[in-house]
Amino acid sequence: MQPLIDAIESLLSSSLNITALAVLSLFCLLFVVFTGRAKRGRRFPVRAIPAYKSIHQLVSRSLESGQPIHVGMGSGRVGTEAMSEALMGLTVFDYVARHAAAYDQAVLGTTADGTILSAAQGVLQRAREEAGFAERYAGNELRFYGPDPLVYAAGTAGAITRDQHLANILVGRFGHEGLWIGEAAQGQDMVQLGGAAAPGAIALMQATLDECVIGEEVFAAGAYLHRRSHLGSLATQDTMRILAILAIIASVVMASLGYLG
Amino acid sequence: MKKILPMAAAILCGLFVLTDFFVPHPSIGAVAAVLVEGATILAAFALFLGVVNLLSVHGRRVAREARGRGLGVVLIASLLATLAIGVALPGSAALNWVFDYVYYPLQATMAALLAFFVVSAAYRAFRVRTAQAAIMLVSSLLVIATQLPFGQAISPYLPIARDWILTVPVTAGMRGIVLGTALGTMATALRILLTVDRPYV
Amino acid sequence: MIVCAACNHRNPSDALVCEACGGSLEHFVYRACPSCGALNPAENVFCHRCFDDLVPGSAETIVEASDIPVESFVPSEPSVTDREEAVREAAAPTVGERPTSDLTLEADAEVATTAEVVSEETEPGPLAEPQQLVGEPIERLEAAPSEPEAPMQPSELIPEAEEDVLEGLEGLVPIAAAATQAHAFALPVPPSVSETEQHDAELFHSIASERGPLRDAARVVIPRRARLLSRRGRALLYLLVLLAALTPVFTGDRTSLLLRPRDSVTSLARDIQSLPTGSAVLISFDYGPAYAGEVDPLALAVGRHLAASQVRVVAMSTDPGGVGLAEHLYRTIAGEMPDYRYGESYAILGYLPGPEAGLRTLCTSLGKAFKVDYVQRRTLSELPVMKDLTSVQDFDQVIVFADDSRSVRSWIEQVQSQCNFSLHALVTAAIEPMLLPYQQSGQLSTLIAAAHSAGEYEKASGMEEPSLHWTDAYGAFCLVLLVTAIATNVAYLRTRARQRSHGQ
Repeated sequence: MQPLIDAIESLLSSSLNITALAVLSLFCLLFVVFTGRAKRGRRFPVRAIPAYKSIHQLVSRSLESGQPIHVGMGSGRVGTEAMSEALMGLTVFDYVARHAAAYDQAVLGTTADGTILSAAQGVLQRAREEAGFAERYAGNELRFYGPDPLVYAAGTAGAITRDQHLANILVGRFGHEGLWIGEAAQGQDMVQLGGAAAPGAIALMQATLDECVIGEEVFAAGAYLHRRSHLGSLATQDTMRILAILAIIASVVMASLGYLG
Repeated sequence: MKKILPMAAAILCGLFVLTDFFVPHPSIGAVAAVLVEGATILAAFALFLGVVNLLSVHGRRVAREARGRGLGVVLIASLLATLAIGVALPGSAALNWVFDYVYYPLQATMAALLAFFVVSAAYRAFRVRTAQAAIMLVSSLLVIATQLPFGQAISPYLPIARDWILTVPVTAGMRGIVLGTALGTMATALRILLTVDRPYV
Repeated sequence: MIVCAACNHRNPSDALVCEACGGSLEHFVYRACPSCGALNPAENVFCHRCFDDLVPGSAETIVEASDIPVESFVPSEPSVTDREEAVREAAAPTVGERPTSDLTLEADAEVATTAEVVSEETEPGPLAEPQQLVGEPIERLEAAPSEPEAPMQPSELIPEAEEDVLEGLEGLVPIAAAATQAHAFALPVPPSVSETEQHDAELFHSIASERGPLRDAARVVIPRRARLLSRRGRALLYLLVLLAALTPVFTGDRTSLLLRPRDSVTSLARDIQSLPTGSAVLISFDYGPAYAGEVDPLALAVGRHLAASQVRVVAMSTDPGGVGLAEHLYRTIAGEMPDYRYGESYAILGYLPGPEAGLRTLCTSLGKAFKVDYVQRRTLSELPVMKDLTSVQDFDQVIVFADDSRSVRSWIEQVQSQCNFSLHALVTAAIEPMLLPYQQSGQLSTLIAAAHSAGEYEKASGMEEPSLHWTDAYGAFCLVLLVTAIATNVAYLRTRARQRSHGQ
C-alpha cells in the first residue's frame, strides 16, 4: 500500500505532471468516443486535401500506364519521436502497395530505418499474397540505403533516376535531404507529392513538390486514403486543437488582466 | 494468439514507460529502465535488418550482372571492410583513418550538394505570383541579408528586424505546426496502444 | 468475403462493418474471389486473376447482353478452311510450342473482358440461367490439360479440342475465333477500308501504343509546375554557387574583420569564463560530418576556451558520426596544448544508441549508458576525469552541438525535464528557428546558430582568431541567393509581358 501512496504523492507533487496527465486523459476519452463512432459507421466531415486526392488519382494512373510509383518513407526511426511520421509513410505505402499488388504492378519503397523496412516488407508481401501473386513478391522492391539521412537521400535519388517512375511520394520524416530527392525527381519530370511535419523540412518540400501536406495534415493520411478507423483519431486531434486554441486565448486574456501572476 | 501476444506485450510496455513518466517512483523506474534498455537494443538490431536488405539488394545485382554491378561490388566491399575494422579495432588509428579520409569527406560533399539544390529550388520558390509569395520573398530576402556575417555592420537595425521575424511570425507558425504534430503523434501512439490500428503486426 | 482494409480481417460477404475492428466496410473494400482467393477491388464483377464471378449472379448480365447488338464488335468468324489456311501461313513453330493452357486462359480472359464491357453498358435487370453460358465452358477449359506432352502440330490444334471446349460460347462472343487462331494470326481486315479510315486507325494505334513522356502521363493527374529553369540556367546558378564557395581564395576573408559578437555569444563566453578550475562540462556532439563544416569551427573555439580555462570535458554523441568528430577535434586541441591529456583533462565516452531511450539513462547512471570509454576502452570509474561524475546532474554545464532540432528537443524533453541542469544549444542556422520557443521559455540557457559564430566567439572570449576563414564564402552564398531571387522574378515578369503582347 505504501508504494502506491508514495507513487500518488510523487505524481501530485508536480503541477506539470498533473496538467500533462489531465490533457492525456481528455485525449484518451475523446479518442475512445470518436473512434467508437467512426467504427459504427459515423461519418465525420473532412475538408479536401488536394495531395491525398492526387494520390488516389496517381495510383489509378500508375495502374493504367504501368509505371510504378516511388514511396519514400523518410528517415524516421521506430523508437524515436519521428516514429509517428514514419508510420504515416508506411500507411501511404500500404495504400499504394495494395493497389499495385492487386494489379500485379511494381512499386518502390525506400526508408532509412530497418524496422520500418521490415514492416513495409510485411505489408508488401501480404498485399501480394492476398492479390494472388505471392510469387511476385521481390525483396528489392523495398530498399534501405543507410540510417543516415543524406546517405538515404543519395541512394533514393539514384534509384528513382535509374528506373522510370510515374510519381515520387515522400511522406515521413524528411529534413534537408528531402530537397535532394525532390530535385532528382524534378530532373526526371515525375509528379511529386508528399509532406513533412518537421517545420525545417516544410519550406524545402513546398519549394520542390507539386502538392504538399504540412504539419498535422501528414497524420491524416490514413483517414483520407483507406483507413476509416483513423477518422476517429482525426476528430480527436481537431477537437483537442480547438481546445488548445481556446486555452491559449484564455491564458493570454487572463495574463493580460493579471490573473496569472 | 499469434497476434494477441505481441500486441499485449507492446501495450504493457508502452503503459509502463508512460506511467514512469508521470510517476517518478523508484520501483516503476527500475522496470521502465529495463524496458527502455530493451528498446535501445532493438533499435540497434533494426540497423542489422537494414544491412541485410542492403546486402541482399546489391548482392543480387552483382550476382545477376545487372546495371550498376561495379558499384554494388564497391558498396559491399566497403561495408564489410568498415564493419571488420570497427568491430575488430574500435577506436583505433585504422578506424580514424576511414573516418577522416573516407566517411567525413563523403558526407561533407553530399551536404555541400544541397547548396546547389537550395539555389535551384529558390529559383522556383521565390517567384512572386501572389501576394503571399511576395510577403515570403520580402521576409526571405530580409533574413538572408541579416545572415550576412557583416549584416550588423551594414545597419544596426538589420539584426533587430531578423530577430523580430524569427521570434514573432516564424515562431508563431512553428508553434502551431509543432502543436499539431504533437497531437498527431499522440493520436498515432494511442491507435497502437489501444489496438485500434494494428496493420503492421 | 470482404476483407477489411483497416485490419485485414476477412468478413462474410454481407457484412457492413468489420467483425474485428468494427470499421465501416462500405468503402475501400476488397472482395476475395471464391475460386482462387485473390483480392479484387469492390467494384470488380469478375476476378482479375481467374476471371470467375465475384458477385453471385453477375454473369447473368450476359443474358441481358445478348439482347443488345454486339455483332458490330465481332470480327467475322473465319471458316475452318480459312483457319487452316491461316495457320499454315502463320509461323508454325510458334503455334506448335504454344501450350493449350495459354489458349484457355486467353479464351477465359476474353469472356470476362467482354462480359465486363457489356455489363457496364447495360442496366441490371431480371436475370436468368447464367451458368450455362459462362460457367460451364470455363470449367471445361480448366479441365483441359495444362501442359501438352509434346509440341503440338498445327493441324492438331484446330479441329476437335478447342471447338469442343468453346462450344457453349458459340455465337455469343468472338472467343472461338480468337482462341482457335494462332498467336501470330492477324484478325481479318475488312476488305474495303477508306484511306481516311486507315489513317485514323494508324493514328489511333500510334497514340495508344506509344509510351509518352512522364510529364504528359502525369499531367492527366495533376497540374504540374512548369519547368522554370533550363539546363543552361541551372548550370549558371550552379557556377555562381561554386564561385561563392571559392570566394575566400580571392578575398582573403576580409569580411571577418567586420564581425561583432552577438549577445548570446558573449553570454556563453562569459559563462564558460566564470567556471572554476576543475569543474566539469558535458559536451554532446550530436551532429554528423555532413554539417561539420558549419559546426566544427564553433566547437573548436569553445573546446579551446574550455581547455584554456582548465575545465574537465566529457564528450559523447547521439549521432554515430559525432564520436569521430569529437575524437578528431580533441586530437587537434591536445596537439596544440601538451598538458591537455586524455583521461585526465578530457574523455570521449562514445556513441549513445537509442535516441530518446538512451538519453533517459543519463539521468540515472553514466556508467550504465557507457560501459567503457571510446578511446581507451576503460570503465568510466578508472578515468580520473570522471571523478565524482556519475550522472548528468553532476556536470556544471551541458553543451549540445546539433544539426537536428530533434536531438536538442530530446535533451530538453527526456533529460532536462527529469533532472534539472543548465543546457546550451549550439546548432546549425537551419534549425535555429525551431528551437527559439525553447529559448524563450528558458529551457535553453543559450541558443546560438553556428554559421559565423566561431569568429564571434573567439572575439568574445579574447582568443586568437584562427577560425575566421569562411565568412566571405558564407556572405557570397547569401548574395547568390539574393541574385537568384531577383533573376527568377525578372524572368517571370518578362514571360508575362511576352504572353500579354501575344494575347493582344
